[in-house]
Amino acid sequence: MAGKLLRHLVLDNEAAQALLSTRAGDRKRAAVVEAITAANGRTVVPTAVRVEAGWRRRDPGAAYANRLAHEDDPLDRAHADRAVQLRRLVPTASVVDATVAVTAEHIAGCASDAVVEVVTSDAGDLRALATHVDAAVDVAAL
Amino acid sequence: MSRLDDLFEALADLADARGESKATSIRQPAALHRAAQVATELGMDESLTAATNRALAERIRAFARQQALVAHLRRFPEDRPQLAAVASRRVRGTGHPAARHPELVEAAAQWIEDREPDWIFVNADETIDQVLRYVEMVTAGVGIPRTATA
Repeated sequence: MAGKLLRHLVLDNEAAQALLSTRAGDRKRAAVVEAITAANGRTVVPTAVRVEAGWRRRDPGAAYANRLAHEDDPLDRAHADRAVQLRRLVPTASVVDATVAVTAEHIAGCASDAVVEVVTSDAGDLRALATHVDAAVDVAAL
Repeated sequence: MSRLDDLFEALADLADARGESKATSIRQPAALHRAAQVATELGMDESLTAATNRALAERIRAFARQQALVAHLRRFPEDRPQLAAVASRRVRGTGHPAARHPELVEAAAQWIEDREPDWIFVNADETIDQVLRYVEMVTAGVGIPRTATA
């Protein structure tokens, strides 16, 4: 019998923006909600993504997004160093993409059978970064 | 700010390990207390307090997650995902048999959705697990008589 599956989720900029959308029938927001429902582990937003997406936790308009993805992953000293290392390996990746990859690696932790899904509009660079990350990363294009 | 938002703020503080600890006393069935003590001695957790906190935090996170989903879908009903889609997504990138048998995921999800149309409002996680367990059982041959070999 297979063990309990553990699926974490990391949101990239466009996924974060989609979740903040209050437009009726937003197809991208629906795709992010599907990813959130499928993830039974942590759903995390790197703080650099929040800056790029303009996601201020205290804005009243962010209330629904805050509930579905309430956990931040801050860019501390160790994460910044790792992001620099990853950008040297994938120079086309943006700063934010690199922090997304670092967060994926961080939340996978020591659970070797956990999968970390990254929802992004920049699947190419994230897939390239994922090959250098010590985690099973499933990159989903938005 | 709603009570649900208060809950998420408290959970965010918990994730950041902020805030003080607070002594509390709860009544537990004596047998549960004894079982927890023995399990702790056997290595389940570093202490009875850690075991209690971990279990409670896990239960609250699951509750909050379900409530957040329900609140969102009440506001944006068109965002409601299909059970087959979320079950397939949960196993993507894993070795679970459901990743190789989308037709079984589809059939099991349809069967469950017919019986429990409000699955996502009741317990989304448990329902997804039900679909995956079904696929695992079918692909393992459970309930299928084995043919005798000569």
